[in-house]
Amino acid sequence: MKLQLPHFQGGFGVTFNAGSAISAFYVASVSLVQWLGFCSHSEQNFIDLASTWAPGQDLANPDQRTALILIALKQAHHILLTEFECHEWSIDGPAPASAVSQIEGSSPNPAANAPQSAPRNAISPLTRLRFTLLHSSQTVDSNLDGNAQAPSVPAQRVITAHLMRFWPSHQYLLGDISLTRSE
Amino acid sequence: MDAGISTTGLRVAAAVQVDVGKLDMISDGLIYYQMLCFCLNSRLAFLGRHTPIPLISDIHSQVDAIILEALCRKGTTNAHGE
Repeated sequence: MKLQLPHFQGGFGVTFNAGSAISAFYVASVSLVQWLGFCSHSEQNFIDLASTWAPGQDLANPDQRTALILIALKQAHHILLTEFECHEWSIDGPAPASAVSQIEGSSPNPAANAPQSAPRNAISPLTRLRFTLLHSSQTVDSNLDGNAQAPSVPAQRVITAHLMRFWPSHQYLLGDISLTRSE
Repeated sequence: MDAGISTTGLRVAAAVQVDVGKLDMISDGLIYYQMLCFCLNSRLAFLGRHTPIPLISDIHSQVDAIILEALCRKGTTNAHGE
């Protein structure tokens, strides 16, 4: 509905909870996973956070994650990949040169970041770290050569804006409303 | 634990529904919109940030429907849905 579209897309900016919950949960959970991955196992035990949040889990082994919160995080990651045109970046396949601009392309003024030849309302993909690398992003950065850098986790507002462009009930509107004012 | 989370979510949703009615007395449309958008619509934000989506997605949808219905009703001077 137009009410739910962001202001820069001609809507009223009532970001609905069913959409923002995905990005909010993903960003908050990934931030915690990354931080716990940065701590050593003994430090995790010392602060007792890992045992409280995801008891008995080894964050370094994504295949054996069975805690509800981690399964839900994996599902959210999968949803972003399959339904909302997000792409995974991996250490094996370097990020494209435009990876950073792809993330910026989801900012409120996509036209400023898009190539001149891009279609007027083209939607840029959102590049994120591979799920299995989330806990070790610090190690990934240190293993990269030269100026290469793994993409950081996009801000919640960036992911939410990206979701709104692919939200099923918005599709019929996006083709009809004018984006002239925001561009 | 899952039941507790769902119960909390349902309680917040019920509170939002009650509070939406309290805003009817606001005559200024912009203030009404801002109260709905920033005070009521955001009440589930913290819960949603730390709750697995399958546990709470129905509650989110329920609150979204309440908020949108209220906005449409106010914007059309109660003519929405007739």
